[in-house]
Amino acid sequence: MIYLDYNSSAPCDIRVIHRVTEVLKQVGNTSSVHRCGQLMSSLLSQARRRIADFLDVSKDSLLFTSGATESNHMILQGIDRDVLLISALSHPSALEAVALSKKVYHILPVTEDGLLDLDVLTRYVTHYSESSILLSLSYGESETGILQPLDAIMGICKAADVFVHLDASQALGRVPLLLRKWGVGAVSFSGHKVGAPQGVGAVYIQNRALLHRFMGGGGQEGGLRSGTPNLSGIVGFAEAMDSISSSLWAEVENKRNRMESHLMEWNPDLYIAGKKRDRLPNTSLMATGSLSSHIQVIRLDGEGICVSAGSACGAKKQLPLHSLTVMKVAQKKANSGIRVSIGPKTTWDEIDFFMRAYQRIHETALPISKKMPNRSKI
Amino acid sequence: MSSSSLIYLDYQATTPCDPRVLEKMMPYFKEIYGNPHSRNHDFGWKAEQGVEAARAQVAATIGADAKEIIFTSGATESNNLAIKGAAKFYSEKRHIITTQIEHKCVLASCRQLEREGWEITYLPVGKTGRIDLDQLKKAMRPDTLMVSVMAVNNEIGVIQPIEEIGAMCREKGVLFHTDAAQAVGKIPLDVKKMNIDLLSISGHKLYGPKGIGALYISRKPRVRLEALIHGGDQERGFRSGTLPTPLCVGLGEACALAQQEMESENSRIEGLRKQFLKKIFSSLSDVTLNGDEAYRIPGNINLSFAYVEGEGLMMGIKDLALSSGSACTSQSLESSYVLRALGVDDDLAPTSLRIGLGRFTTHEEVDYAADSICRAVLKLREMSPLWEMAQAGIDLRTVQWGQHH
Repeated sequence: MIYLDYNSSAPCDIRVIHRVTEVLKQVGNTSSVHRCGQLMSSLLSQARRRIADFLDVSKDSLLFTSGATESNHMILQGIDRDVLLISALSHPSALEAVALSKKVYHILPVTEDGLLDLDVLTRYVTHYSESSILLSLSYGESETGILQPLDAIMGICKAADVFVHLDASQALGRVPLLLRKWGVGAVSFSGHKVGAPQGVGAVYIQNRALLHRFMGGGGQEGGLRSGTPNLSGIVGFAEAMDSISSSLWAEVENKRNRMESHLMEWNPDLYIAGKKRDRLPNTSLMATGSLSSHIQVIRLDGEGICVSAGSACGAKKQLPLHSLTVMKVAQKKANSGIRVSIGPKTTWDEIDFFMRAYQRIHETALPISKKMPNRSKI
Repeated sequence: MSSSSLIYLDYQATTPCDPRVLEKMMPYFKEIYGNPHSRNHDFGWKAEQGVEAARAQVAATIGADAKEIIFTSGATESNNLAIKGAAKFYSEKRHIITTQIEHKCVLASCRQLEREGWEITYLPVGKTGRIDLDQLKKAMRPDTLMVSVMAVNNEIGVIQPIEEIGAMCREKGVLFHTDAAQAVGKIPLDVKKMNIDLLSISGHKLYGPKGIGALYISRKPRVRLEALIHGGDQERGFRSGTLPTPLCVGLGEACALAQQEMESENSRIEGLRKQFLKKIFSSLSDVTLNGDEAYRIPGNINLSFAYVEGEGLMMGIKDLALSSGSACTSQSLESSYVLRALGVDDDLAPTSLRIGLGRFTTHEEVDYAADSICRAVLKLREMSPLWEMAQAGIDLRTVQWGQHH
């Protein structure tokens, strides 16, 4: 099986699994005062420190959650701001959280390259200059990998005292995150996208006083998020962060770029979302316009290759892909998009195998659409 | 500092993950690392199959249909979702009934609703820790939306009359939610027979992993909730976010094991409890068992020791991992609100110990723990002027204490 779906879930490293299993074998509740409890709370605190150090932020600004979806909700529903602005190129969980917040909100359009329209941003910021504003962006959008131009955006936001939230679920570990330099207010993270087990995520919040409590109860995570923490997942998260290296990801980017060049040679009309812009090093959302995304995904699966037709969270939804719709890509093209997302373990041979299959599927596709009976073979 | 020399007697705070559960989870960490929502490829498919098999296992434990189970990050989330989600969905009904001894996350959810304009009745409990059904009946009003009563209390292990409460709620058309974090796998539960509409489950209280729980949401009659976490439409729209496949599989296996072994496990643990109490009561006087004796799970013992000082007692039994209150509250020094609701004296509450027995507790450990506790209590009493006075027949309540220390 060739796994080219890292943005949906990255495999756990064996070292991470060992550590997770070790913690699962230990007993104790982080809130208990006896030694078993203390041992668990020291594991929790060490993991928090390791991740905070990686991000170069203070330990107290990092809260653990069950995943990025919860993180998005905790921030966007709980933030002390009157008006919420969110980029259209955001994960469904962030868009839904904004809608659930019962506050004034606006979904801001993006250009055909997927970048936030800065003129529109400026207009909204000026319009609401009397209110407190939050801007939410996906930094490393999950379907396209597009990275927003933060320097320009932060320039506008700092001048107008806008609180900025980043959903960095896909960006963590893959591109540098200069949270303090940028001066962002809050960030959502996912564990399983960086090789931690599923079921753990985090929130970075620069000023805790701005965040309302999300789930009440035993008062864990500074009272902002109650519930016995998923300790094995959290320790696994910290362990996964340790194995991240920028040189590995530079290699990933090389492979991705080589793949895109090869495919462009094969089909010069191939559309690759955000190709000319900054993107995550591992993501390629490609569309030919000739075959539906679902058919491609199913056929590739038949060849032993895992890719996605966009975000897994929207897998049940109909085409076209959310990202391509908001980037105003023509419907026919948008209906044919598939997301290839690779990781440090992906080999060139695997990519080569995928490219051959991708080409074959498209080359044999044309006659099939003319000869309907063959469809039953799909 | 190693915990290996400790005897673990805190099964209501958390349980060890059963090795059989861990074994079931392993392939989902190692080989089947797909996102269970990636429906179009093989890994995602296998992950989804694992999740769905687990869902069926959870459902079977409480007599529900698999479609009625959603996975959450734990009982705290389940309770928050059940109470706040129902209140927000059926917002025309503004009254909720609960008890004074619920877990903090139920009380916190109720308090938040109170601040937003809902009315909450906190039913008192008697000395036994069980609610009075007549009082519950009287508290019900035409605008009562929901009754939320925990099946088993986390501090005193007392079992509430769930079936009776369910019948009463059904008759009045009121929703019935029960926090069953401490009950699943410990007492028989049947959501249909007991007329339960919403039921919260925790993984790490029943030998499963931490970070996973479930909420049963009845489909017949159909119960609706407003989601707390929305976005990917996972879990029938009630709860979004990527499902943690290994944790779901772990919870499913933990439920299946608990159901298979409940009867034999309960009788074994009951034996351990009897052995423990016999030792304590034959060596010590002035010890009270908090909470009902008959209606409680076998794994819970909650004792108050008169004439000893709480902190001293904990220091004397440092090799026993147990709690002097609920794990979630024991870091704060306030006395347990559960014991206070039972009418336990404020002086006695801090000298109370919760001894939680479970699947891996042995006869030797129980003997050792009982001996250590007896030794510590006797030693503290020897040094206590209060004990001396009590032995001399002075009623301490009538003593006029001086101003100086």
